[in-house]
Amino acid sequence: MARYFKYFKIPFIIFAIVVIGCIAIRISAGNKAPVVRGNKVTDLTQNVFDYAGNLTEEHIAELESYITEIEDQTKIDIAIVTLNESLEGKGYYGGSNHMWVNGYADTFADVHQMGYEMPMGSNVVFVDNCYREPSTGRVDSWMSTYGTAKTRISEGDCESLMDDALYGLNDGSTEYDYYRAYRRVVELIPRYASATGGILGFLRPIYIFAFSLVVAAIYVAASWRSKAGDKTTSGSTYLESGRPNMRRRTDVFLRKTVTKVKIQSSSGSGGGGGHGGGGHSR
Amino acid sequence: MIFRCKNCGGNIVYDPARKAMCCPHCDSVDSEEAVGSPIMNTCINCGAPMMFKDHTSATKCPNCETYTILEERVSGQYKPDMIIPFKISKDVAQGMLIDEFGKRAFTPTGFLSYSSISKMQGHYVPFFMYDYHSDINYHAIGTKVRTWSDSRYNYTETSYYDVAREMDGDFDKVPVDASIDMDDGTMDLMEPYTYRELEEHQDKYLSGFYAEKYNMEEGELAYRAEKKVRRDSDELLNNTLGGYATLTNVNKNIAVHKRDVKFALLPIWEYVFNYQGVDYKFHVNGQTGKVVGKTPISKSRVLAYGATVFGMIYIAGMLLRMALMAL
Ligand SMILES: [Zn+2]
Ligand SMILES: [Zn+2]
Repeated sequence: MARYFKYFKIPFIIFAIVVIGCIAIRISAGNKAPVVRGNKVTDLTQNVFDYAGNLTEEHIAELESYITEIEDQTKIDIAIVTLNESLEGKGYYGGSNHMWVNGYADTFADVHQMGYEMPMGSNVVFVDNCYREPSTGRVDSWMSTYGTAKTRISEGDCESLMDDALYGLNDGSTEYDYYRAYRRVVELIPRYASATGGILGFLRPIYIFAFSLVVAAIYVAASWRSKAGDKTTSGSTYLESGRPNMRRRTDVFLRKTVTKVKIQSSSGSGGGGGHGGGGHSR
Repeated sequence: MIFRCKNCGGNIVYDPARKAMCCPHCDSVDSEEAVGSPIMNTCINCGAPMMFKDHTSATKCPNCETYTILEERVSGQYKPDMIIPFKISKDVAQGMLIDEFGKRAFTPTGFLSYSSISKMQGHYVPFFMYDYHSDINYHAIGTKVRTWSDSRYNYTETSYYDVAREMDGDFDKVPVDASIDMDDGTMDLMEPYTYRELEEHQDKYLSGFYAEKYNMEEGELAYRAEKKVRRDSDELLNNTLGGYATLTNVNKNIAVHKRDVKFALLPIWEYVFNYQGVDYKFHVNGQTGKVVGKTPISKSRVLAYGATVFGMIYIAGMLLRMALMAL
């Protein structure tokens, strides 16, 4: 036992520092006045507005309870709206579909006085308009942020969050699974919203578990060595004069052969300026 | 025969640190007198019955701990031609074991504890030392390859050489242990010794240690020396064949013949550690300090230490997560 503590002395000291540091951070963070649900004005009683009919009843129910959980974790009011209609001429600012969706999302938050801690407080509205705009041939989504959500989740964050979550919807090879995509949107909000950004995304319990397991395995493998003593003699160890008596050492050149192989040029690449290209016919 | 102190009557032993016969009881130096006995199987000092194993030439009385040397097993045909006296004392050898294994995590508790490690014994192991002459003849066709390219072609130039080697060498004192108890592979790993310190045999060097006469005849063991000489010859030859990409039509002939054999005693510390019913042997070269051995692995220690590493990282990770989430 004494040997155990002696052996792990330095790791234990580092461990203690980390533990104390983490607890200190936790306590100091906990001393801030807690943010509580304080919005008595909003007329919203639900989080998911599936006007496009993308989700089943069960999926909506699951998404609702999941959103409530994430709202309490992030202190952000969250709404998901699905549409399947052109928003042209509906009074939203701008001249293109994505600007109209943007307008819709912002308006939705304002009209319903959204906010977690108060009306017009921290909120995120995610609008997925499945209507394919003929002029661009594209489907547009928008994520609108307000209050602390606006300062915590940047425009770039919103874009990469949606890139991540909606990836499957862009991929024609897989079946559209709106539920998975929307759930992923919600799941990613606390990660981007936390002050530590994406770090928490890597600090998922399962990752921590796996990482600890891998390090422990590496440690065990590295400490496994149980042998001592390698061969330390060489060919000349017992040789009287330390080197052999060389009576003949000849390397007589006989002949040589040269073969040449044409270099295969890889098609299309290389070859300076001018035109490149290729054709295909069948 | 035992070595008795003329001053106090205690048992005098050879002290490697002082390179002298010392009395551990009264600290006298070189105050020994050899006391012989006509009766075998009885301790000269205390008269207790003693059992000598077949090949034992020096051992300790289990009753009074006096080191006894069997004259008839270190004289006549069994008289060693040479000896390397112990140069490393027991405490230094223990230190070398601790240096080697002390930092290894999974050795079982007690492996390097003083009570266990102090049971280490010094053995003079019987060795035959073979002198061999080796004649090496070699002939082959060697190739060297050079490649380059220009804008359109890769070129490969292969040059052929007639490669011939004729060399010979005298190998001196190639050691082969003549002890059945000692593992051959381990004894081979104890090499090399510093032969400069070979001395003419004197019985007094054995006092304080265990020793054996040779267990087998030199003729029975010559094959092991020959194998080593062939291996070394091959290595010497290969050292001269660098630079060739291939060697074909090889005609290699290594002829060895024995020139001389000597019988020698070489010093080796042996520590036996019993773990879960299995004996693990560790050897320290009594002249050079080279350590050879393989420790047992304590499964409970692997589990405990592995779990500690896992637990610390996991808890630290989870706490970090908790702290970051609070921000
Ligand atoms: Zn004395
Ligand atoms: Zn005795």
